Amino acid sequence: MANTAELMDESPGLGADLDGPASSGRAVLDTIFEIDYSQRLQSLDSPQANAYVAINTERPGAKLFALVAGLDVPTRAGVAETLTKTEGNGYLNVLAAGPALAPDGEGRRMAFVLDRPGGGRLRHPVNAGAAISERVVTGVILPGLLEGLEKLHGQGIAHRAVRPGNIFYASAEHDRVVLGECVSAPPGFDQPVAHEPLPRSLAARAGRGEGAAECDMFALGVTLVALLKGAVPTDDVVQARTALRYQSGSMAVFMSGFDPSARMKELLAGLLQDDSKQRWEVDDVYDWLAGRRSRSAPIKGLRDGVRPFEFRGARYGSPAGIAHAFAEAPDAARHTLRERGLVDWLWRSCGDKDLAARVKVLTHLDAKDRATRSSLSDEDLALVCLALDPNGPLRFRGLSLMPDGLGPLLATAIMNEQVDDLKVISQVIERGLVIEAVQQSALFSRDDPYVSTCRSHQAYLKFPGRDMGLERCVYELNPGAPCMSEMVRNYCVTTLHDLGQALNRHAGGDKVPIGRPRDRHVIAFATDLMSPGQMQAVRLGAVGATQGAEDCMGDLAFFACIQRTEKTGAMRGMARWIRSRMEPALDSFRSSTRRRRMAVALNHAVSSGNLTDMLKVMRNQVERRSDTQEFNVARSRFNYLTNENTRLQSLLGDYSALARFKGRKAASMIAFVLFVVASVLTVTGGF
Amino acid sequence: MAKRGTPQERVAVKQELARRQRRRNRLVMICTVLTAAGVGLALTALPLFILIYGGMLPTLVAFLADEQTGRYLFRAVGFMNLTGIIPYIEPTLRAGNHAMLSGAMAQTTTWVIIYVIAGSGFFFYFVMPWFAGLILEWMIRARMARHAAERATLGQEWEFDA
Repeated sequence: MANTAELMDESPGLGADLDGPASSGRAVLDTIFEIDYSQRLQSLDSPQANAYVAINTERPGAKLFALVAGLDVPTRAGVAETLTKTEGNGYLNVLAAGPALAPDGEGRRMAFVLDRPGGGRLRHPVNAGAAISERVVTGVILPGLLEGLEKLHGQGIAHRAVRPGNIFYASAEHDRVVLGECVSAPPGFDQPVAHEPLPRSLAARAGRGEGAAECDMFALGVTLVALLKGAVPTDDVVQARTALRYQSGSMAVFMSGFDPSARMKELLAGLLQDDSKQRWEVDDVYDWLAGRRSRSAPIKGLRDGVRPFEFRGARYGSPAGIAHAFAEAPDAARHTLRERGLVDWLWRSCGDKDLAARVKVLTHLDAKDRATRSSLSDEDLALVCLALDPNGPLRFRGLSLMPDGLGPLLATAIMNEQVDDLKVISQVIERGLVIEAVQQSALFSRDDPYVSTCRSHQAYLKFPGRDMGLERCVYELNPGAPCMSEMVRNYCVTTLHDLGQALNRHAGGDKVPIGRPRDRHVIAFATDLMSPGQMQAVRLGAVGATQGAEDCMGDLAFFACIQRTEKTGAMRGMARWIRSRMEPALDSFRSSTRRRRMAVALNHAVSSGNLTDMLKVMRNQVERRSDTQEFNVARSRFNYLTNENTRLQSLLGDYSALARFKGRKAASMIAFVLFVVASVLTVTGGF
Repeated sequence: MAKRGTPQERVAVKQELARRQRRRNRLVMICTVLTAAGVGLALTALPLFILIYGGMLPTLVAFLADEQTGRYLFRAVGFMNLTGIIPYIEPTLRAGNHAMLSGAMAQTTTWVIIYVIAGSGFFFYFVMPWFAGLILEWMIRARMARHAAERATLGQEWEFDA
């Protein structure tokens, strides 16, 4: 992983300052890789990342390049980390991944160091190229791609970026190809619509989902068509022909006007199967290449009805196609669903009585009162669409996503501050639509652990504490994602160590930042990464905080724990920031003298940047007990003095009776004393 | 104060009557004792009788006038009266010679001294309450000032509302 030392300027032995290397135009990754920002490699750019020359300082001769991602979309950090641990042919090896100094020197960006391909890109990423012969495809291109896919699938990784523009010649002789990178963007994010299997092609780009090997095999099929034919239909065309894809199958759409050899047709038919279970796997293609007999399946749409169902003037032969049409025109769908037409069609024409019954329940056709029958919420419509197309995307309020695409979609929406999308995503999670989608889809098993994850997320949104909410969901759904807090977003923080240092840097300016150092993102990010021991330390650090001081004590305990356990060294900026918010905690001490004394001790700890010392000062139990005890004594004394003052005040108003009594008593006593004196003097002869 | 005509009022009236009766009885008894003692004294030592019974007249007045609890007027005048008389009585009692006493009694200054000293008992009785009032006020004010200062200190330290 990346050397995160660039952030640190205060702890000993932690490398260069964040802004330092910018002037030299180099960033360091994993201590041995240097990214040379002065040498751009535009030909190797990915849609979401720029390419630069990279150098292995231990092996200067190795030809490498680095991809530096932006801040708009999440990367596949988890996949990248897995790939750094393995090496294989057929794809560009990822040698290092992690945050590195940004090209402009401002903050950090996710960077990946990869092997540089020996030859150029097979196709221009945007422009179509000339058709390639079947001989070259089967002799040069297909073996390389299969090798890469076999290795990746063997590790449980779906590439999700198989397209002509992401294939490179491995050597200058153009005798072998390798797959390009698949880590700089969410799975399927940069894929043209045609390269995605039908259900995933209908989802939002970021919500196409992690997918599986079958997705890569479909993309391989479309890639072959594109290479053999010269091009495949553009996104707009493919989207316009979605209904046709449902009716006749993807192959019919992509092969329109293209007539390859019968053998090639067999391969493409296996790869372009819309039913993922029928789709060929890598081994099937190897068998095909070797001339062995492969399994073959009829090319057809997903489901067929005998008599088509009419909706808005168009005819649909499969429930999945109808679901797509309903999602495209929700108002018209509501109008149609008020009648029994669809249920009858499913019952009679499709012969699917279970589905008909389910749709009948979802559309409230059994309801006795007219109001319930006529009201069909967005949620109901989404569930109807799910019932009609269980393997399709979840369609809700204009948003379309695959259940396993929730994480990247949510992360992208947060990164781009898409408030409307966030609102819809929140509703999707809270109303359990993702769970429903997972349970209905054949792409997931019945007891898929993802369901329990989704239930947790539902709870996070139903009880939105500070460590809950969408923020908590996004970090659980995107392991390895950087912290998306505005305060540290530019630093591409992926570890607790970096988080502490980035916030310290954020607070290191002339002015102390306004607001809490722990916003919802920081809390959710840290909660996802903290060990149980660290969580316990934070809880214990803040326990017993008085009312009003919970926030600042919680913040102090949190960052003190990070400083101690992550060994971040002195954090003066952070200490200063937290100190500026410690007044409620200081005010919880009742003695003003004690407060002043504590403030001095606190300031001393601030100057050393030691948050643990600050926490010790604020959690001094002896001081706390003394303060409470002395306060109780002082309050009693104060009350006594108040009462006594009242009594004396009233006495001052009417003391004549007392004065008369005391005066007369004194007079008698004086007389007695004089009598005694006179008697003694008389007896002793004093007179 | 009990209401008129109620059993409590009747009990209170009865108690008051009994108190007065006891006081009258005591007075009668004292007068009887004093008369008997005076007659005895007059028969045995006439100058001493005149000095004591004549000189202690202010005390008798005070005794009759003072009905208040504690009888401080009686006590003050009584002790001062005794203070004025004792220097004249003591030598007579010690020597057993009444001639010296007769000489002193013949002088006007002796009676003036005795009565002035007895009068100082009245003076003390009437002046001391005023004086005590002054001292009391000073003490109350001093204590209030002390309390106010302490309250201010506590209020400042612990931020109590005044």
